[in-house]
Amino acid sequence: MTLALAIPGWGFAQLSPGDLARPHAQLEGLKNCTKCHETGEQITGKNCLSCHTLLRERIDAGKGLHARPDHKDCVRCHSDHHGREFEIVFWKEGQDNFDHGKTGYTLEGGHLGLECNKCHQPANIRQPDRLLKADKNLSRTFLGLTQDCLSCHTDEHRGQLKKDCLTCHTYENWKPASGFDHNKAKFRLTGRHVEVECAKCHPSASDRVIDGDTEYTRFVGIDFAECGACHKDPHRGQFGADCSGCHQTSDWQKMKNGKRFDHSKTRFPLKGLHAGVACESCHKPGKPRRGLAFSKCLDCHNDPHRGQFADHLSKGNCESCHNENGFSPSTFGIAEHQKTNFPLEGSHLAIPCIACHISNGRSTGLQALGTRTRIRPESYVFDIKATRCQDCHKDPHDTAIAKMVNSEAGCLSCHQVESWVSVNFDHQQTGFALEGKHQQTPCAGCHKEKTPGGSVAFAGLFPVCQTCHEDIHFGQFALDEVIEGRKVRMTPCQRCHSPQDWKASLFDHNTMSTFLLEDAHAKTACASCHKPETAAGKTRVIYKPLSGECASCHGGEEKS
Amino acid sequence: MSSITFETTRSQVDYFKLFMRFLYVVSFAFFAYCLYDGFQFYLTDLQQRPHMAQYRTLRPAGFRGQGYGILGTILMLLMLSYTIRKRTPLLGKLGNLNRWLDFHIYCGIMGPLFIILHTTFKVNGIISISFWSMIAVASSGIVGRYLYLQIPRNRAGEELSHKQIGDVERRFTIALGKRLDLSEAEVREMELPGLSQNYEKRGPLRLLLSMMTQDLLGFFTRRKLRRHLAAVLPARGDDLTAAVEIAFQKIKLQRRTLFLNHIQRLFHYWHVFHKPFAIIMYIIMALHIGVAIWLGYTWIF
Repeated sequence: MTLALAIPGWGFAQLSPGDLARPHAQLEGLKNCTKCHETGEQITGKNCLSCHTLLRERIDAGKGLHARPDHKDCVRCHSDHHGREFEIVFWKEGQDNFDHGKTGYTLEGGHLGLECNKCHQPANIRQPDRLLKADKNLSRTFLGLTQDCLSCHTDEHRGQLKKDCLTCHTYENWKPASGFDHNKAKFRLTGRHVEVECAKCHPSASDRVIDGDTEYTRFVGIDFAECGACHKDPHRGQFGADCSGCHQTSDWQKMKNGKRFDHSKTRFPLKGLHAGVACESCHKPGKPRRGLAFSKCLDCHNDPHRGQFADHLSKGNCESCHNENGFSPSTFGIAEHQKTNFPLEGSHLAIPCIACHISNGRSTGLQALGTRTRIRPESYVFDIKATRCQDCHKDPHDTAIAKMVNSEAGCLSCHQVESWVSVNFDHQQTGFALEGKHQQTPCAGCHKEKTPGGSVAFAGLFPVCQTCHEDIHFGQFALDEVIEGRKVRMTPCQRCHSPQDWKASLFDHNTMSTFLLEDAHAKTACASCHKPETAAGKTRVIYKPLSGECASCHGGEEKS
Repeated sequence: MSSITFETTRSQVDYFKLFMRFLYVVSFAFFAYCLYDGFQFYLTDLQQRPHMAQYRTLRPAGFRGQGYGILGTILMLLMLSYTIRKRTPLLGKLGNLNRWLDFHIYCGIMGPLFIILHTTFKVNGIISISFWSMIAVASSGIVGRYLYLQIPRNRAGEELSHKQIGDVERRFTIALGKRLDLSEAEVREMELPGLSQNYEKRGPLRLLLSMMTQDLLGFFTRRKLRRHLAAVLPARGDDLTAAVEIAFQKIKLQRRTLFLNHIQRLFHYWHVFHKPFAIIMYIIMALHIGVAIWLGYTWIF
């Protein structure tokens, strides 16, 4: 009896074509057949989804692989009765080669090649309780993840931005955020802003929200309404907070709409030549504009005078002598010069400054005059302490009259500042007073150049007539004399002649010769007795010695 | 294995046999094609098969797999026609019983083959009982067919009586004498090789094995006969060849006559073995088909 009852039961139990896979093992048994199989309908999947409720929800929502029309027949992929160890989930091309796009989420970029469990792991499952309730093994299931990047990735931006990471980032790389378009942000990047590194404006911040990642970049809450939020105002508020009124983002130095900056708004209005100077001459490119000194010319200009005026009353201020209209000519004129310790007089009024105010040699300035030689401003010397003539002028007398030159009067002992050639010299001081014709004789008549173009001999002239005059008597009246301690043979012209003229007005034939002129002799012309004689190419009138004999002149006596 | 019917008259062209041969050829060709086509699938591990593209169609519930099952089932059911013809008056005396047996055998061979394709060489649970019962029935059918052939019969498949057997044996003797140019008495005195074994003392199984061995060695028996007749008689050429064949048939008949009683007893036992397995097979098959239909596996219907 027992056998009769047992055999049918065993028989029905054996109707199964094979053991169910382990996940379905609890469905073994004849009375469980219709939990999967539908009478008259085979397996439609309806019963599958009565247990697999999570899948049913996704299918109903049209999500995931199983919602695809070609994947609705469960048994097409997941057949059973192939043994307890049969893997119901079969990866046709291998799990690693699964076409993830069929799930509605195509793996791209960095996701390619990842092992499944990099994403499909319990930690990334958002609502594990639902899965656990559905008796899912969180370590094996592929359910529970969302397509949100943050389902697996941490929010690097700490909720500052929208959760749709792909708006900015790509699957290939997290950085750079190539999809990000700053122009879609509230602050559009224009001009040079495009080239600026993000971190320049977006500072990093720190928190402890994510383990091992305490640094993040601030993207929101950054004040950008005014340029000053990121940029320092080099004008210190002089022009207000609206930089864009003058500047443009393409180039800080280029004024908006091509306009030139109105420098008159600054504390340094551009005048004179400054108006034509390129901005870069003062505002060096790349250097901050702020703090640009301008109170002194030397803040921008080099001092060509090399500090010569540092101790001056002007304290070196250029504007004492120059203005914006040009370095030259200087505004330091004659009137100003007259206030110096060397007021200009006479010819000094007419000569250019360079004639005196130059460093390399006294005469260089004068020599440069009338030439095309350009004198560098650095060569000017203004701090001239000396005021003596020879400080500027070369002594043409070549120390011959150094005593005079070096005297207190100096050159002015003879010369005048009005004219060099206008000499006012008392020749009597020399012991050789000028008289008669000498007074009419130009200086050069006696004071000749020692060498052609050389210095003029003023001193040292021997005080005898032959120093200047030729002895036309050829020594007929020469005497040996001691003059200035020197024994010299000279003709004392003054015995017969005076400076008034050459006439021998002082000669008295009766007293100064041995032959008295009497009677007819007194009326006889000199030449009757003193005849000219030519010898060695020179003609001279013979004055002595003449014979006192009558016959020496009158030849007739010899006839008698 | 050749079968010989012992007719007293020369047979006409047997169209039924030609038809059956045609059926065998077509059926085996179709089976061979199906087997070849699914060979890789059938060789694959059971747990790997579901992952093959052919699984959908070759699995037992697949279009082709279930088709094989239905074809096999039809053939298995057609096998019963022989039983009906033999055991019941439903088919009256329609046709020759021997031909019904031939068809029964055809169905008994081809049916299991297609059922095997249906199972995809995988049998589990209760259906395995049906399967192995089928294998047992089919295998025993081969043995039964062999035993059947060991009993001398006429063309209609009816067993010959001892007298009829004697007449047949005498015709062989006369025919052999004509070929060898010997009198009937001289032929009977000839000592032909192959009849020297003492079959009487052997048990049923050993006897069966001996018979099968003799049949399998028929080629060598013919050669032995040819050498023997050629050595002692002048017959040559076609006469010698015909004489060898007649002598071989004569020896076979003599041997079957010798253990006819044993064969008949074995054949009786065979029925006891063959029928229960067939019944079990049909019952479980019906259960299997019923469950399949209940669950909606109705093929194209």
